[in-house]
Amino acid sequence: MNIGKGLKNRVFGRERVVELDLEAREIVGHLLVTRTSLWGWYGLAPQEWTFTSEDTRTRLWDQNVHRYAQLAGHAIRVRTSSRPFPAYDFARKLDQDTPNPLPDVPGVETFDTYLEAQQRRLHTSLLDDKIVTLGVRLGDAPPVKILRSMVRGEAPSTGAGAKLLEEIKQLNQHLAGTGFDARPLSPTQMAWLMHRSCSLGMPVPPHAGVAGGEWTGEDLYAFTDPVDWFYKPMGRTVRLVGLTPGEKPVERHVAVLTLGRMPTREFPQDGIDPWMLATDRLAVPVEWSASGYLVPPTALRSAVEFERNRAENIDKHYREHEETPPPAVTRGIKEAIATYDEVTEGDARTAVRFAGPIRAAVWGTTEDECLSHARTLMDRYGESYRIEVAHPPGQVELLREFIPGELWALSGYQRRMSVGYFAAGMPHVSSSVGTPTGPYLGYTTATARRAVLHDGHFPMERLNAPGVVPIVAEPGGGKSTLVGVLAYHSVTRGQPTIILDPSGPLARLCQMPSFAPHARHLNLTDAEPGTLAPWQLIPEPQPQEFRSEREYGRAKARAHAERKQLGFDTFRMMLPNTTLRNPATDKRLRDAIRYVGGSVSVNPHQVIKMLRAGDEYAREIADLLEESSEFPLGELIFPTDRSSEFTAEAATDKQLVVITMPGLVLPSPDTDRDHWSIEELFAQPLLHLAAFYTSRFIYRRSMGERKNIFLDESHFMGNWGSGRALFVRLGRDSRKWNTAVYTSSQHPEDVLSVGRVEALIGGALVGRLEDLDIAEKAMTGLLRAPKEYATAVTKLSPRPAPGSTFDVSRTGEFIYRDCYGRVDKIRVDRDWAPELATVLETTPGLPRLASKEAPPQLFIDEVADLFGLGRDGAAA
Amino acid sequence: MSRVPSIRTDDAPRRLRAVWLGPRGHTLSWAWEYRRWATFGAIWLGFSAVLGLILWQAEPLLGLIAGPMWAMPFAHLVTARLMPYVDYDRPIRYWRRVIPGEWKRSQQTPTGERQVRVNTREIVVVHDWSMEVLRTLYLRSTDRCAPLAQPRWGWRQ
Repeated sequence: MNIGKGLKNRVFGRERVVELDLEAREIVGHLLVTRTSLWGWYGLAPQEWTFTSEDTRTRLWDQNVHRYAQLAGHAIRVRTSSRPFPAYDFARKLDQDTPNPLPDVPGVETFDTYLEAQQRRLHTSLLDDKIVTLGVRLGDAPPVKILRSMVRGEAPSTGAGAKLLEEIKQLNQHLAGTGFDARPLSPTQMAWLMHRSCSLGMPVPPHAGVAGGEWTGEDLYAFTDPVDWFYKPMGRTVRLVGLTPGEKPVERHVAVLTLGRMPTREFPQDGIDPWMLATDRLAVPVEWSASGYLVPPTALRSAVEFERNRAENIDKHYREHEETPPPAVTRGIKEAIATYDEVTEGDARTAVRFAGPIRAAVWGTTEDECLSHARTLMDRYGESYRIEVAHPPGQVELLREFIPGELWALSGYQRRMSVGYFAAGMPHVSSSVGTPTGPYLGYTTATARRAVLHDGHFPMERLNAPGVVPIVAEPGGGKSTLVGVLAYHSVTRGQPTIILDPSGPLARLCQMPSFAPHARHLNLTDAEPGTLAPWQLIPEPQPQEFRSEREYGRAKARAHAERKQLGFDTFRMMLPNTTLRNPATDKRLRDAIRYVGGSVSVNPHQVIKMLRAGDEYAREIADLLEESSEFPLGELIFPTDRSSEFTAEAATDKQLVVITMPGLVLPSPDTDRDHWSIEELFAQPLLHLAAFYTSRFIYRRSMGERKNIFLDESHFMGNWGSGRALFVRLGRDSRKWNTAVYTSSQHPEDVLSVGRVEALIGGALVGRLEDLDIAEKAMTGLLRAPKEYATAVTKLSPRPAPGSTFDVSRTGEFIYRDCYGRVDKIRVDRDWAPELATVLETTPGLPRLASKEAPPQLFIDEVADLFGLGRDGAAA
Repeated sequence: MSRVPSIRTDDAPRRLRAVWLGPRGHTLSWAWEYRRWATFGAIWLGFSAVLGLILWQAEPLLGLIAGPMWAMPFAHLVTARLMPYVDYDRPIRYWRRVIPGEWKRSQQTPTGERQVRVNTREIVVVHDWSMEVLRTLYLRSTDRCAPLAQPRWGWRQ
């Protein structure tokens, strides 16, 4: 009974376990020694692809082809893999880069919560770094002695050793060239690759490889012992179980697919993705392993001749029988002749062929999930790229091919293609964009999802480049959200931030519980009377900020003088032209102000009182000023209480200042001041005070301190003289004063025409612009990418079609150009900080009920109750 | 570059397989590839031998004539069923490797009896999966090392 049952199970597929005996015998640095071969493993550096011109792409492809062609005669294996985003490192670096975060508000934790929220987001999202490695078979396995002496760094004692060293050096040099920029793998990376390949889809032990760069003999069991491979004969997946004593085992189901027929292409003109890159677009984790031999032309000649002869003989046989051969035969003959020509007469780029199987592995936590991922990949490849993908039996042998050093199958699904086609896979093209350190801004959405970090001060501090970043998008394109996210990051990191927002939604940032004690909201049109009193706008210097009494005294004296000057300028702007033309006006004003003094507690009404105590002309001026103090906008300068003095507290410095001016009417620059309306007349001193406040906010701090300024709706700013001057000055000083300047507007010309700022642009963010001409201007002027990509700008953050709901996952899309000039499409992420998301909700109006519209009825009989009549015709 | 030539794989000529349409002067109405002829022939021989031996017990002549005759339709049926699985990407030698391999490689050892090879250098690292299963967060207040509430590793939309 037991024998029968055992036999039945043996034949019909109870699960079996695989004895994973690796071919690899030793690993020394980046060299892997198997029983018969010596392999060298290299990591390819990421290359740019998206938003580059066709010439750049063709050039990159050509360089890759050249690299592969020079490896003719070697066997290679291309392995792509992905590593989860290193969130711990990211947070550690961010913390080190933030010496003075915003002080915690009791009851609301600030900086720790901020770090934690970002890390949680990065842990749980599908954002990975792609790792592409290339293994090259250098030759036969060398004697162990030679390897040992190389590891120890000794000069080779034998000729064979010297020759080997020379070969390795040559290979290193060749692969380090442009197109690959490959470096030999470090021990940590090599260990990571081995662990990852033996336990596909499972987390790699974080300290793999720290014990040194050499694995000999039994050390290699470290890669195979932690995992068990289970399979059923002729099964569709392999079950991997990661063993940990005392812990719950981690399980993965892996399916290996293999590529079948691949279509003819015009690469890169046809605009279709490189075929190995296409899997990045799927929300499915995929690893590739393309193993094969780069066949030199000499070895291929007889094979190609045989194929041509066979094709011609088939044709002849058909014709002998007076039958028409099928078109495949004619095609075969034509291509065989072309291949023969390439192989015999062509240069290395066209003659060398890659011959071997190309595998892709997908995995999931359950078998169903794994199989559904496999189906997704097969469907997508068949539909969009016309590449056949097969899911063959014999999964264990296929999975073995992913491990470095293992053999690959020589029968079944063998692809033979020119190195040009093989290089058109372009696995090492990546969409990494952003600064190397900095807070989490969002993720790329064009080809793959990678986290984007943005630090506004990185260009100034590291690259010696200016830091003006224009943000251009249509209304509803997500500008205010983006500015809100950037401001949130900078304020939480303790950087002084000032936002000039004419329409006002960003003022809500001041109300956030963690920001409230450190924020100030200056509303130019609707604030408490006296908010913009000139004397209070200049903060009093604190004694602890200065190194000596003398410096403190000097700063105090300077502040007094500034207050008096600002008061003088403000009062002048409130007087009509006729009064200003009289030279006595200035004198009266100056005398009054000098008498009142420059202390921070001065009430502007005191100046009026002082003028009233003077001569008749001074009393006239006092009357005019009194009138303007009763006007709504003038009230902001004069408080209601005429006698009280201000406390110094009102003038202390805040980390976040938001200046809004909803409804303010700007005077047109063409009309003469005499013809201005009252509103326009009063707008001028207020704007002057705003510009003054802003520039003081920036320039009174030390040059090295990181500062941020956000100018929302900069077309508004461009219309007023002191505003425009401020913008140009800030742009020019952004590098020296370590100020990140973000200007947002609806048209790229607003930025490009204000001053000569084209050279000062250190990055750009372009949102939806539906007009193609404007999109082209933004593409060439701000993003400095080819004009052909302008349609991508029109399709960002799409509006929903009629009848369908708003797609939240496609809001906030921008095309981002970073400080290094790399361009890619990103989506700004604000959902990781809940309080931020509620504050930034800028959609107007009440929440609408989702209307469930019934689809339109085709036949009127089907409408049950069109006129309120029942079925029997009676009125309801 | 004005015109870039197209790139392709070498599949078209390699996929072709010679067919035998019949002897010169007579065209068969079917076009079988040589491998199909060979497979058919081998299966037919096998079936005729078996059938012939069985029928030989009854009547030798029956075994010699009826055996091959009756074996032919069976052989044709089996070949017709098998040949769709054999094409350019899965030649016969591929199946000859895969099918025995799936059953040969097996080794049914219960997990408890597996030989655990002890290695001297990395024993701590190999069994230290707890760092990944229990993720740690970096927080500024250094004496806090907070684990994620849901220790998970996976792909989530």
